[in-house]
Amino acid sequence: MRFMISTLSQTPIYEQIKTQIKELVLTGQLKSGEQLPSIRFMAKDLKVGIITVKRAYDDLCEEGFAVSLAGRGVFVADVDTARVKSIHLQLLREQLSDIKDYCATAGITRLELEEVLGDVYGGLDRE
Amino acid sequence: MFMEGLTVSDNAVMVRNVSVKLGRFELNVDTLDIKKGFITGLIGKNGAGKTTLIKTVLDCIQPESGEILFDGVPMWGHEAVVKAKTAVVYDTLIYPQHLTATKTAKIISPFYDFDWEIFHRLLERFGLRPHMRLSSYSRGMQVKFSVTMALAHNPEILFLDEPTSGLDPTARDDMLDVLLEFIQDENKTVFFSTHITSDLDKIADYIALIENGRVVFNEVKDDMLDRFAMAHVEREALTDDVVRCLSGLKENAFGCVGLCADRALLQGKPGVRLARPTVEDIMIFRTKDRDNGQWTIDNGQ
Repeated sequence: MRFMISTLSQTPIYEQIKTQIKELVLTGQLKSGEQLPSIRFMAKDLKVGIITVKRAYDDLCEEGFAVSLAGRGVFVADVDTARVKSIHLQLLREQLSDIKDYCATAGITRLELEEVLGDVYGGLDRE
Repeated sequence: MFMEGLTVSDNAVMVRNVSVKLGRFELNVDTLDIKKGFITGLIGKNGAGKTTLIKTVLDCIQPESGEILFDGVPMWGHEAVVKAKTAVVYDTLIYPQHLTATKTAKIISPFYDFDWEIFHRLLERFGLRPHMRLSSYSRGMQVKFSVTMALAHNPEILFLDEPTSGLDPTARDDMLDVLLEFIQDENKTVFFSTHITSDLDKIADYIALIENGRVVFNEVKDDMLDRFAMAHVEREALTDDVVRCLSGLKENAFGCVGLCADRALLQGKPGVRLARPTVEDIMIFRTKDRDNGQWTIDNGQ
């Protein structure tokens, strides 16, 4: 597993770990049932605090991405594809809402936005 | 929720109502628990009492009153047990400089349950030549040698007083690796004081702040960084209410910057932007007020 952790970022380190593990799960690089490294090992590996990793793991368990089995460790949960899709859509919605705010401050109309979106997709009318 | 190895919330060291008088300096610690299995970073300005605290805990300074327990046992009457499980690294070398590394270890080892394998492994890892005189070691090498000696007797609690000051970034990084390896065993504990707070931003689990001989707080680092906020306040938004929430207030071209001890107080206030602090921000802005005396704000401009 490859992680990028920055102590200078505005995002808390436990949040960074959490997001990156989630991405690995969502992209299928971490399969359900796979064991996550032990908390202490992960802390050493990423050069972060033990409690920081514990917090990331706890959050992942709470959000259903991982399960903690007493005495055995933390494992990637069974994440069903419909749920994954709905999470992706939710994330997209959040990003688009940021873009909407950005458009409002920059004076970009909805029509103009749709035009740009079309351009990005390589022409509006192409299916 | 059960997490292996983290259900234990034992204290490796408990300090209760300890007071020390050294000339005009006083150290008063009502409560300080050093959590077993974790790394606690002690921060504070020069003269705040960091070294005094460590020396008092290790019985190098006699407190006037109070109690210090190691796994529930005091040093007094249990010296052999307590000293076998504690180790300390000071910022300067405590061994005779004209001796070689190996000779020093030969002299010290009979006093402890000394593990020569660890000793040689760490020497090699740190690139320290065993038959060189300690006086020819660079400052960084001397600190690394102190760490080697401290770890070679298999301690449970490792105290370090400014271990990373004077080390170059690579050597500091090595040191952090060694501490994280040490703490892989959940029965081990690290307590270290430092000025270089970026080291603590990374690896510390708990941060204790000492000011004027008092421990102001000792809390989980992530909780502390979540709770505090650097508030950037526009001039027009600088009301008395806002000012009351801030410490270390500093004016700049756009308004003011200050540290807020509870981000919830200022969350969502117009004209106030909140940013996540670093350990250094907290230390600097918290202690600034006392340096400058009372600051005043001219609200009318």
